[in-house]
Amino acid sequence: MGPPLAARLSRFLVGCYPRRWRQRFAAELLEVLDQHRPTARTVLNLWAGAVSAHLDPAWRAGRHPMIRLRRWARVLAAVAAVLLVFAVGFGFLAWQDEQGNMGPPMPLSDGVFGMAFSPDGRTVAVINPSLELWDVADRAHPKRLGYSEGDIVTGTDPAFSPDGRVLATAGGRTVILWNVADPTPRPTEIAVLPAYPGGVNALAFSPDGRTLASGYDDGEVVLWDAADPARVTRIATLTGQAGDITALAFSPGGHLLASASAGGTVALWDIAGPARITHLATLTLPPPASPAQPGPDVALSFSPDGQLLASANDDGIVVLWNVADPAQPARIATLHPNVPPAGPSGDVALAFSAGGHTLTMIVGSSTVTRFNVTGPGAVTRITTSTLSNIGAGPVAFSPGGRTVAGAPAAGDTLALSPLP
Amino acid sequence: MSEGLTGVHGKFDGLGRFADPSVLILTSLTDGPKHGYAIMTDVAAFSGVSMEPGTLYGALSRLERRGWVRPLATQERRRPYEITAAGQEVLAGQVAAMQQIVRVARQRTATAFGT
Repeated sequence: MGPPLAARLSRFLVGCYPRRWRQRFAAELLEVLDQHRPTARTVLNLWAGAVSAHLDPAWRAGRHPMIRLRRWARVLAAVAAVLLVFAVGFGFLAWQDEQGNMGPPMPLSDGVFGMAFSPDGRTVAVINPSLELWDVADRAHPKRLGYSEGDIVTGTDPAFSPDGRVLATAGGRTVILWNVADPTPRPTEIAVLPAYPGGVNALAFSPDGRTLASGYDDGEVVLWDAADPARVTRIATLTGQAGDITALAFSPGGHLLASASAGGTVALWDIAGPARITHLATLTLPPPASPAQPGPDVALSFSPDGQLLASANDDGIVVLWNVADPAQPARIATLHPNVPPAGPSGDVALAFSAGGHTLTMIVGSSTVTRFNVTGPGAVTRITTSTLSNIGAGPVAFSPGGRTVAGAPAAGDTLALSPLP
Repeated sequence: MSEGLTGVHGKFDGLGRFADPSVLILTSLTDGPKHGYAIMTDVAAFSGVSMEPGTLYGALSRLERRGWVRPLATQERRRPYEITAAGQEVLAGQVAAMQQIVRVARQRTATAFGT
């Protein structure tokens, strides 16, 4: 509320005090308002003051114009007033809905919150802030398949099950599972998992689809038995990391889980048997070049043979570890490709090619860097290129890293960029 | 006065009942009559509470009705207020009650935390 408007409203509200009150105080109060800089708070405060003065019998005129009501009539009047306020409020919202001011979808170029490619590369899930599913089989003509009625809002990337039929999204402190096998006109909710103290910050399905991992902003990771998405049960809670869990990745064999935290570590967990989940090792990430940035973003990716684990932070620094013996991981390369950092609304994503010889990274929604991985210890940068059609915000790689999906710089069609 | 307190702007948080507008206004008037805006700036300076005009005049009108403050003659559209003998008595009573709370709180925090 601008000061001139606040000043005008304040003066108007002084006129709303009871007449007898005004006769005594209005001139002084107006004088004080001239010296004071009225704000929205001043306006609210005067409104409350006027109401309370009206309720004060001392300021009532000798003959009060209000009709004296019996107690039951006053109760009825109060109930009717509350119902009227609700009715007017709902009517307003319904009218807004009719005007198209409510409900999804929002134009994608307004910015999206999260994104994920389906394992078959034919569908993209977008948090916008409702859950939208896009058919991207034809890369040149992506098509919106459907969207959820409610909003998801959180900025956590969703996760597809390996068969692409179930999608996990973060709903604040809970995880929501959606049936996305046929998302037209709407994906349907299968289950809402029990809430945890922290907010959900990362999600991943195991390669066999039986286990779902959710990482929280208090450093915990929860493993869920998701074999039956309608009856999910908790298997275990993995603790010990400090700071937000920023990324989760299962190894291709499904025996290992890597969890990255904003505290600058990646923990490796042996999850082969639910009965014996063990912490194998903790890897240290390079410190961010811009330490002032809150909640550094991290991407994790295992090579298809499970021998290598790659991490990238939003400064574009890539680290490769040999995790052939996950109890004794060895850092084999740290790459500083010197790309512009992602920035506060930018994203970082990482993908190994199907053969494992190429690693592709995207930082800040537009800078794509490719590395050649000819063997452990032999990593070279091939190219850095800039995408022009993707706007700011989250991005997602198709499996193998051949296509990037993101919000468009303009318009309402999902932006897809095939990479050479 | 206490510069350190001026960060407590806007809310009564942290001062609880000690930020009761009536107590603040009576305290402000204790060292001499003041008009509305002068009370606001004085209260902000010594307590860090930034009182809005609606709160100030709500409290002033109640204090005046109870006979704890008295309006003086208007000077250039501003009306100064002075504290009455009854007002001084009430303020002394409030201060004594607060002192009692402070004394017990001091003792108990010393016992509990050894400070």
